[in-house]
Amino acid sequence: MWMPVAGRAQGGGDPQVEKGRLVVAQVCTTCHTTLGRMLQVHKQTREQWRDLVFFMISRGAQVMPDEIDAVTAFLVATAGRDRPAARSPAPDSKTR
Amino acid sequence: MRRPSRRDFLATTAASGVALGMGHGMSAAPQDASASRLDNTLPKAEPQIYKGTAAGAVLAQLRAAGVKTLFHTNTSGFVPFWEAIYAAGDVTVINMTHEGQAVAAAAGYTMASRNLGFFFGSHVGIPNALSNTYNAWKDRVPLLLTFSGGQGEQGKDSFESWDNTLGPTEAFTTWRGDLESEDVTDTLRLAIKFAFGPPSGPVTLTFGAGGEKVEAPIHPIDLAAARTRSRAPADAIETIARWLIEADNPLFVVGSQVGIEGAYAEMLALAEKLSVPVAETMHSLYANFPNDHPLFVGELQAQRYPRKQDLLISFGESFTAGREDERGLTASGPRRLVHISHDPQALGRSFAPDVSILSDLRAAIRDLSDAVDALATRDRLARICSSRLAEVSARTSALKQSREIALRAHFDSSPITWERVGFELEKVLDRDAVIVPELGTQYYKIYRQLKLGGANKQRIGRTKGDALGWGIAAAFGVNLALPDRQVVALQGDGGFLFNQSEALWSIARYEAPMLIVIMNNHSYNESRARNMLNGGTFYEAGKDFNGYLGDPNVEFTKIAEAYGLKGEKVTRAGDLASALQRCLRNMRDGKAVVLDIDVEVDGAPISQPTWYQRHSIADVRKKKLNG
Repeated sequence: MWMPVAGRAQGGGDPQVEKGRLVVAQVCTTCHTTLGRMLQVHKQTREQWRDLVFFMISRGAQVMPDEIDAVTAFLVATAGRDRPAARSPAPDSKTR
Repeated sequence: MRRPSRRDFLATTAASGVALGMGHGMSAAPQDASASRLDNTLPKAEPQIYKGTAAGAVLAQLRAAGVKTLFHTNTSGFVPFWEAIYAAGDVTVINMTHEGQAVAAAAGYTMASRNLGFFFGSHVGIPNALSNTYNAWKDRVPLLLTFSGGQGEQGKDSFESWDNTLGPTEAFTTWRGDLESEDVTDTLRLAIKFAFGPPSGPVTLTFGAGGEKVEAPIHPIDLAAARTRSRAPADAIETIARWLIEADNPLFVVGSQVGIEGAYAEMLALAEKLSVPVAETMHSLYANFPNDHPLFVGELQAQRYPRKQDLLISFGESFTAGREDERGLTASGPRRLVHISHDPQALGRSFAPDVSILSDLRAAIRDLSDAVDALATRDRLARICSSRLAEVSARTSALKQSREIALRAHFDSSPITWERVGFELEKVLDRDAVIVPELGTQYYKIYRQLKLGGANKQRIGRTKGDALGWGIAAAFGVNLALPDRQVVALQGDGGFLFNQSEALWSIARYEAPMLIVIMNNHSYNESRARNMLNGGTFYEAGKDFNGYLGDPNVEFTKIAEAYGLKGEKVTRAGDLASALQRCLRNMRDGKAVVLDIDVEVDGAPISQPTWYQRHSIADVRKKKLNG
């Protein structure tokens, strides 16, 4: 049983994080029903989360322009990390 | 044909006892299709009598239905049919090198032309044909798939045969039969009726008609009227019209049947009449509504607006996507749900509407529009329309701004973003180009950069079946049907590797000037991202047994060249526009081009993205081979 998104956000009191929490609850959970689990698993930097927000907007997530920073702030507060996780594979690299 | 007046229709329906499908109790038992039928697909005119071979009678009946493009895959056993084709002189046979690809091409041709796709080949190719027969069935594409041979003795495991030859197709067909010399054209006419339904879909036939002499009736058949039609009861339409006028936050879901009927203009006019926001489901087969229109709000399941919908009307959507559609239908909480469909099997199948209506979409939309006009004054409609339009437009305009920000975020990055590919395609393609995609859920990143629907580009696909190995041949079929339009296949590298290079042979032979774009991220990224979404052992290890497609990195341009086609490869965003211009020049010269674009891998990153389970036969062998 996963806690509701509201219960897990760090950065309590930050109005930007709070705004982001509300948007995430409205926008992301319609498709990502396991969002709580995803945020436990995927820890990313601010830049990576911001890119992910862009990525989801392009895929149809209904995030308004003035909500992009807030959603990013919420994701960073909830599942942030200092160093980048792995990036996309270079097509010709051969890591095994 | 005269359009029946509502009064005529009421009289007819009253006489036949048609009931309203209203309320949850009724939704599970939609209206009786036969009772509300307007047209009878049985030909009324006296038939001409054909005298000749049974195979010739098949061709004569097909020609009388306007079917003059046939798809074929190599086999013996059709000599009398070939002789008839040769004698007819006006029939084109498109050879494909694999039955599955032939079925996909026939499906693409049919979706674009609204004609009937006809395939003939060997029964041993039935297993090859199955995956795209399944796709065609999911897409409700009327096809006749005919197979020679296979009528071996039951139970004997005879040469090239098995019991119940057409049995493997049973799950994906609306009917199966035997085209024998006796009653050959009656069987064929029946097959056409089953193909168009509703529900429409593939029909499989054994093709036993050969050189036997027959006298067979040939009926003229109008394929445009072949689907049995139905029309909504007037009081149901009136109820919905009243709900629509009174609703504060209605939403339309526009589905594939709008595209199948080509009722785009009617749909647009009705939405504009009351400024109702319009959504689509994630597996919508066509661009049924212009996606640059201020009322278009995107995918149903992603709907955030209107937040508290009080009425949702689905126009011809079958809601087959399962959980995604279910979430879209339930996300806004309780509201009135109306489901209009020309397919009785779709009604009330995936969810329980308050009203389910069996009707042709074009007729239902027109009837609803007329009923709205009759129930509300022009002033009232104008008031509803203007206030809602301002609100919806503000929303869709803001979402467009967000997409623009997302597009610009990595505009010049390499590997190239999907958004950038869509952006560049929109700049160079004709306004009425036809896009035939077979992509994962990244498709939306391209779609929303393209102007699709209405007077803009058309989209056909991705197939709702999602069985990979459909897109290139389907696009070729579209090009056959629409030779004056630019046709663009949008294909993932992983999907292309599902037996699709064979289609290039036909594309080259028949000089289809298509653009085939390979969105090459060197991976099955859809499944990789889904597999990693919720973490787990392999995510933590950063290893993915399924997703990485590099090593070897396939040179798709060389595959193109092997078929005598031009290949282009682009790895940098800045080179994309000029490469596209070169592609278009080749297309103008009548040549297809394969454009291989290195695109980003998106979704959840993993620490060892190019890892795969290593196994080398060369290393494990105990002895080296001679030579």
